[in-house]
Amino acid sequence: MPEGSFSSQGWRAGLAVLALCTAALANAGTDDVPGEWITRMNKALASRNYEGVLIHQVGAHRSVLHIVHRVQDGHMNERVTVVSPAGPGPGAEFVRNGSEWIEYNPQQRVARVQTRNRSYGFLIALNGLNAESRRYYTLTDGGATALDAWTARRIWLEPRDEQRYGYRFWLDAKTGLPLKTQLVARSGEVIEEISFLSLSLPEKIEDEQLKPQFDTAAFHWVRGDVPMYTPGLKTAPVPRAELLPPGFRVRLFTSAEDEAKAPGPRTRFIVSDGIDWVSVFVEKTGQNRPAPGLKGAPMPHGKPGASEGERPDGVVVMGSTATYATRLDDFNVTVVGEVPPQTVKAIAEAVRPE
Amino acid sequence: MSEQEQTSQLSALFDGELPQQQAEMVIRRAVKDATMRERWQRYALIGACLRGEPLAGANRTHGVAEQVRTRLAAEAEILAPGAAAGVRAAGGRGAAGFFGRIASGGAIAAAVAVMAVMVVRSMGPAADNAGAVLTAEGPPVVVSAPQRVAYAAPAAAHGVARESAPPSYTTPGENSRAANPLVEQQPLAHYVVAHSEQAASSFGFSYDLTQGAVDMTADEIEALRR
Repeated sequence: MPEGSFSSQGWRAGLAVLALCTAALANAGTDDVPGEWITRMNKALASRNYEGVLIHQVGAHRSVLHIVHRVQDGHMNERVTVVSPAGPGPGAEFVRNGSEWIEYNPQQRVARVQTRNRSYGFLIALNGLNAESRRYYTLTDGGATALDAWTARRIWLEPRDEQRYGYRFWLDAKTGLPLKTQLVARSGEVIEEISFLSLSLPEKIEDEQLKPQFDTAAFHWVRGDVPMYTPGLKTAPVPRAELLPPGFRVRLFTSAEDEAKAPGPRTRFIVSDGIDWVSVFVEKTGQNRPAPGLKGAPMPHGKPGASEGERPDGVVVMGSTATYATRLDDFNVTVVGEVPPQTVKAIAEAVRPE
Repeated sequence: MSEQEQTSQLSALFDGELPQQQAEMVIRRAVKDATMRERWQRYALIGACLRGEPLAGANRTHGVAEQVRTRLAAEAEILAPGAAAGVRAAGGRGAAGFFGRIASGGAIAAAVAVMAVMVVRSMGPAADNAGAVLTAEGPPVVVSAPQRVAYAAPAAAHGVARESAPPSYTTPGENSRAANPLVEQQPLAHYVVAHSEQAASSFGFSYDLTQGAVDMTADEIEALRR
């Protein structure tokens, strides 16, 4: 066989291998279609103006909300108004300006101001979805589907165990905005649903549309932030990594330098698996607020099952949020998150002396 | 069902006066019925007008909102003497009362209001130069199962798979939620609100907003109100 011929065959074989590799790489690029849709949703939520009427359903409670969301020069403003039902809800407004969030309650004539650290507004983005967090969820592309007159892409992020909730999204095929979002348990139970009844995408949203409807001059203004650190304490308990449920870990959004300069030990933690977020509040007993409960006792007061929100294990479930409080030496530990009840309890029990 | 009956039900829903089962039916119908949905949207806009909220094209709506309030106040004097002051006070309760009045059939001013708002809407920038407007249309199929409402794909979109009755709305189960626990759980409310990106009241909970909070100074308030 001539040398040249062999060489030619070798080239052909090489090209074939290269073609296969290229195809494989191309497939690898498209294999993560659902991940790309989540990225698209995140970008849409962080960059789009939108206005619409939402139906928000948690358990038996359904509310109708009006939302105006503006992103201008990278700055987010949002105004959510409770349209229905009657009671304490109607007229209540939640106005976000960057990280500043104000709840206006015209019945109480109170404006409560808080700092919001998450970059997204009322509609959730999944910025923490990555290879690590995906170990605990199954992300699937349900393909295109019709949702009323919209064409939606169905993307499901389902939990692989009972320790976390997942999400089902119906994303607008054109914009990537979530037309419908469900928070779901592993069992398939739908914990919470937010869906648009109508949605528009204004090019421009005026400042006026983002201001509260009330004259707030006579309102009682309060700030409700819970500090990250507590001056005056030498030490405080911390969530221990090895005791946390699988995939969950403490997330710090401050530098080591800032932590070192803190006026006291950290007493507020964020524990997350990248998708579900849980807050841990540690507080010296007898300070500021009444003790929320005792270790092993039903929470926060009363007998097990005294209210529908209180489970026999002491976890209180409110909306999609589960809360558990326990006492550790001289500290109250309160854990709050949109996770299954057993997870808040497990996280609370992972808090130990430093 | 007549248009008036539909309107009454929708109004009662907005007023929070509709029993759960009926509310479910009205929402299902609104999802199916484009006309009803339009009406719903209008009610939301009217409510916004009554509460003095700026709408798209806010600079043009002020007069209409005033007009609506005035007409409602006049109507309230006729329908329920003494109630007009409440309407004039506007705010969310005014809006609720308005919807209630539609339900009771005294809808002269309401009709004016609807038309006025529609005009404003069509004149406003939202109609003139907004980006794409997405409005749900098409008849979703309601799968009747206890406590479950499921959408099925309408025929509106082409070349897409039909939805095979995915669960919609929340389903009761092990983690069923309390109706209104925060009233009794004040100490916890503070932490829930501190944690949540959503307000507890959007879940229908009522709690004392001042709980666990500190008063702000006049300067701080002024800076925020600016």
